[in-house]
Amino acid sequence: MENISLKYRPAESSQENNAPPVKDKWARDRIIQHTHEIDQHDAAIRDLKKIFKIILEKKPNEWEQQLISQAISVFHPIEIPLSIRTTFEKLEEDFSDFSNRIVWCNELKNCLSKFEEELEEYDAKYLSWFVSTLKDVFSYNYAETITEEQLGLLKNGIETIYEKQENCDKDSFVEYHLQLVESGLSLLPTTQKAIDEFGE
Amino acid sequence: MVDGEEAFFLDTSTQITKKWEDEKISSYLNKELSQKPCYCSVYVKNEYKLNILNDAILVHNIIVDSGTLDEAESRLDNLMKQIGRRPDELPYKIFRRFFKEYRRKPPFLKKLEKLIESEWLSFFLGSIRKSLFNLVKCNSAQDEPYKKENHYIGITSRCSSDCNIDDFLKSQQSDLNVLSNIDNTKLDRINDLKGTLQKIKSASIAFLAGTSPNGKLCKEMSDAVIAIEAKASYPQIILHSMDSDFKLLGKVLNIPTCVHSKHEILSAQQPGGGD
Repeated sequence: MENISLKYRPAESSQENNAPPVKDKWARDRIIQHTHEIDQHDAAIRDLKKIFKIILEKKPNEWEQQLISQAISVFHPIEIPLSIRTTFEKLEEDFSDFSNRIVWCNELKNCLSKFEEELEEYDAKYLSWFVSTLKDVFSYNYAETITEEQLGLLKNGIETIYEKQENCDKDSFVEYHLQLVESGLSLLPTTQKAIDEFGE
Repeated sequence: MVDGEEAFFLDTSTQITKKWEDEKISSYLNKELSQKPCYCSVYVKNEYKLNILNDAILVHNIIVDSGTLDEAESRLDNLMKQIGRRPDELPYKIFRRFFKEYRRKPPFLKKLEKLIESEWLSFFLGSIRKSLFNLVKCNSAQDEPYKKENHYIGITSRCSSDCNIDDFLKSQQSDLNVLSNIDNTKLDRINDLKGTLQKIKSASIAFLAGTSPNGKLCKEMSDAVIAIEAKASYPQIILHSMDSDFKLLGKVLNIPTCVHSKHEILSAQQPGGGD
């Protein structure tokens, strides 16, 4: 038998290797995250120095323009709209009230859809995968068919996008997606809701 | 070999139907599948991967290559007609819905990218045992999808030279003897509508006469390979399929089957249909 692994294994990160030997996982994760942020800022400052030099000397070419937009994106980090979290909190509060549940599920679909569009401007592939998958849940599944267990899974997904932001990775997406699939939520337009909206 | 309670073995048609078919059918199927442990194989995974990924890649590349989504949709429909695919065939039916869902190319392409690079596998693995049978040691469809500029390169269906299917079939000679001796009177238009069993019989005779099944012959007898591997891997297996060929194949090879048609599932859900 072949044991199938969903894990995507990139080369080991140098940031993790350089992280201090802190035993507490939470603290270690925060240190790794901050080390990563400091590295990003250092790199951005180096890039900016290059950019200023280029601008002073000549008109930037295509490669240099790309460098400029990369550096700019570091100074314009992705802001995840608070409306996603607040709407989800309302959904949790009103979960037993079906009419309000329908309102909040629809509102969440709209917030996630808008944010998915905004993410097109950024190089944040896996964050965008999380966001579009969560949007699909609210697009394809009737609000009243969502169970409490599934709601818990959706909460994990929302928390992940706020916690990991652009550091969402393929491994965590693959694992999360399989959990959603196994929970019975439809992630493809195969439901009556989807058929009504998009046709047979 | 695994041994124990009765379990389902999901063939490629069941694997595709359980996630890609409309909920009227898929929810019936998933309810049934939840009654027993479900197993599958690397051989079926490879067939599934070829089916789903190559269709998704085709849609992706047509969109990249078209000025608008309307143009892409019309090109896809024409192409599918040309190669004899029906609009309700999976996964094409679902891709047609995506065209109604998306009005712009970038989010549509991202959706397909996510499906091609990751999601297909969890749709396949959902609700089955994660250890896949692998007596056949099939090594087709091994390449991962990759992009050449903006287009994906399709997954090749060619088998590699180090395919081990000869060794597997040699080890299952008694089943091949049975298949090569199927009574021709059973292979009429009623029992073998698509002529699949006739092809399997010819391929089994050819193999016993010394022809390697690697490549084309393997595709012709793929249903038999799936069934023989399932039985050899798990004695209490029940073959689960949405393909009527497995009814006769199961009878011939003495393997219990659970074969449905979409029509039968929909009728069972009608009032008085006996759900």
